[in-house]
Amino acid sequence: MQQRVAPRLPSLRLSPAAMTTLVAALLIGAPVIAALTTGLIGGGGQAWTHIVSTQLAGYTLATLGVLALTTALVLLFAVPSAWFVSLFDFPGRSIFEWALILPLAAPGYVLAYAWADIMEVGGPLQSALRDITGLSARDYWFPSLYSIPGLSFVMACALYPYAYLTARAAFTNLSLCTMEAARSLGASPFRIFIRVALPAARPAIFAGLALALMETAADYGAASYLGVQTLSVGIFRAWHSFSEPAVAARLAFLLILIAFGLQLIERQARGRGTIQQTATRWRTPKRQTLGRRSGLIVTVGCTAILLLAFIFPVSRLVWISMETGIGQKAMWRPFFNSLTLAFAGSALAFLLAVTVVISSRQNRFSQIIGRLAAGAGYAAPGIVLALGALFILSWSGLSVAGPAALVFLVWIYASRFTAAGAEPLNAAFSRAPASLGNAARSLGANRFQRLVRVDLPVAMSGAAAASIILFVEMLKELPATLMLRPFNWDTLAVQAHAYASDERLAAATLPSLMITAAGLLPVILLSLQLTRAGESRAGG
Amino acid sequence: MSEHLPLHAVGVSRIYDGLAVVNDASLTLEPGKITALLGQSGAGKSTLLRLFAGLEPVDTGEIRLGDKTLSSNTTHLPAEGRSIGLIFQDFALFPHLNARDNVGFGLSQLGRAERRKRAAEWLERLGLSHRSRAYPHQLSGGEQQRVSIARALAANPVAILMDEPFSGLDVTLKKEVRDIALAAVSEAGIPALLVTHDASEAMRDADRIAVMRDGVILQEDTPETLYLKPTSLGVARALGPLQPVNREDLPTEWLGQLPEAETYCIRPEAIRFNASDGHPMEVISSRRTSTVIEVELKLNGHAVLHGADLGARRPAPGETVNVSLVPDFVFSLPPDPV
Repeated sequence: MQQRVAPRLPSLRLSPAAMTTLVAALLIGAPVIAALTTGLIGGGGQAWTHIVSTQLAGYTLATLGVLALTTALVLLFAVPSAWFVSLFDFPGRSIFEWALILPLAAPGYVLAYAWADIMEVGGPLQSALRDITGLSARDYWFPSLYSIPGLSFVMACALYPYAYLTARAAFTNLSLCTMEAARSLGASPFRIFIRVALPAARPAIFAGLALALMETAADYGAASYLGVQTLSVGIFRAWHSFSEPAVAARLAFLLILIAFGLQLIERQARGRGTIQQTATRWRTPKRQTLGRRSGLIVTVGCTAILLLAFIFPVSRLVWISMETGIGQKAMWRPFFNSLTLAFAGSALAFLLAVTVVISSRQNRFSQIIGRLAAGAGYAAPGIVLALGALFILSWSGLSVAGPAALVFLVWIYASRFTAAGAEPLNAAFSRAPASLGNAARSLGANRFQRLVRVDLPVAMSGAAAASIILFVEMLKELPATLMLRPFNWDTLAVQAHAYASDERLAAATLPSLMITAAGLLPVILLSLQLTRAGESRAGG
Repeated sequence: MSEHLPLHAVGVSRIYDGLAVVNDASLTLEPGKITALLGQSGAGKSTLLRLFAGLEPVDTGEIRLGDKTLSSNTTHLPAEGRSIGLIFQDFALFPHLNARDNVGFGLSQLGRAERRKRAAEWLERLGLSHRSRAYPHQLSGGEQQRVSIARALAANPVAILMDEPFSGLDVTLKKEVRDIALAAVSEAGIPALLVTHDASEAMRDADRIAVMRDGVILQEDTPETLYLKPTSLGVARALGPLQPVNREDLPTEWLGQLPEAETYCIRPEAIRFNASDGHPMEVISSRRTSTVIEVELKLNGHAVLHGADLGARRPAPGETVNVSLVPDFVFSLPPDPV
């Protein structure tokens, strides 16, 4: 019989694991905290009042508008393609399966440069239109990319793969029994999609969508190039053009609210997703071959997405770059700088991710603190983190121009992307049974031995994916680099942005293509790895 | 084997949020004997196992190996210092190590060559020498569990604790794995604890059984004694099906064999319906399971009596059969404390 006994208060012990997490969490979270506190207590005054009366509503509405339109487009690109790729066979399916992830290699701002050029009056699209119809430029209306819908289109092209990946995984994991049950109850394939598959995959799709939207809200490069006054652009202008860092911090506060809200959605969606996946045994559905006509329609649809999001813009950049002759003069240094920063940032982020993931398995305190810090860093846009770092730099009396700024930049990279690295490491752990630690203890392994002999090797199975993701993300990073880099110390992203902003698109193509190319190899590797994992699961 | 020591729990309790999950439990695990801890889920079995293992501290009481105190409210030797082997339902094999290196994990004090030799020996004993290079994901469930048993025993533990070790396995695999595993455990001559919710598994595999409910050990004895002489209704129920019957419903010729009581608990096998003489009763329904025939009989006009008996012929519904009673399987037990 169970008896009630007076509960003992849990004692708060700062174990070594908890201390380590706390230090890691402070490293990750400090820039966000600095930006938030400055936003809350500093600032105000005339400049802020001016912004509130003139710009704030515009910034906010533009940001929300872009988020809403991007949502629609991301879902349109990602969900049907993932559905067909995971459950049906049609011409080109095995290529689309991995190729649809390719746009992840190209940052949003690179797609913005390319699409702006494709769609301008003298660009290939309008020229072709005039050649075909015989009209002159004044005789017709043509959509402008320099608008909220234009920016949304570009961001959706760049970021739909996040939702595509999570949706594909969810559809592949659908229980065959559930679908067969639905079929036996007389449901048509369309009805199965709407009533069974979509509700089951919804948490996963939301998780991917929220990631894409967080990146959209954080984007500075594409928005500023396309002249859309989002909050990110506003923050940068307040800091750079008006020299009002405190006002920038207040705007940042607003942006963080949006980002944290999105992250909350992502967390909750993901939580619901895990419950569904562990429910029962499942057999992976066998792919159904589509009929000739429907197969053709799906192939055309997938091709269109790939053309819009990757092939058109990238080949346009290649074309411009070949047409104008490649200006190689000053490319080496930024290339080298980009690699150095991405390597250093990945290393630090990886170290922090391993620390957070492993120590969060030791006790509840570490788990909460670690997750909170990593989540905050990831949700906070780079521009906000850079702002935070600038405040910390100025409080500590260090020079923004000196090498300290580079150290801070590596720190910001790590702060922003630790969560992205922690994700695959966590996944590696969640595949391992929870009793591993106890098994090791019963075999005499102490805490340190367990770390070295069990925890680290288990986590390392997710290490390759983690480091690839970190490296690519850092290579593409623009706003924080723009704000923190020492004078004359350019990365490829900064150089591309600088040339493009100066209307020297031809010069911007090479660094843009180099970023894309550098991102391409890891993305293909990752994509093949994911596809193979799916195949082997389907086989087992 | 005489150097092996018994493992004792002496009045141990473990409290979560004010609730005693293990409540003043005492149990001795004798060397060379398998003790089953039987109970439903939530009974506190796994928690008691964790207290033995040192995965959790005790709130009151003591865990002792021989005379040495491992846990009390002042001392706690952590799991890694106890040398007590653990077997889990989910096998808990290290995914980054192959079978041989999993078995060698607890032998880090040995040199590499010696460690591999010992691991190979243990894999061979459990019939797995051909799988020594395989990684956990390449092994079947039964093979994984045998590796985990080899891993626990190779480390030369002072005792071994098994938490539902066979419930994750396929029925067809279960018997083979269980026979190999338990033979190896018995051979090691150390105290062994088998946590299970399956009464037939406990009766078949264990030398002694402790029945646990709501954190309390109700009774501990040999399977035979527990089955035939349970001291409480809870224990009798834990070991097999029972039906309550009022004294006035029973045929008067049976009452002389039974002690004085208002109600009785009757196991189905107490009812013999193939008897040549006995009380005639009408069959309501009957069905054959693999070895026995289960019947429902009309008792005293209104009650139903369940019986199970061996036999070649299944009585048809409506038929009248002669029914006799085996009093060994009839208990008059005090009701459970609430």
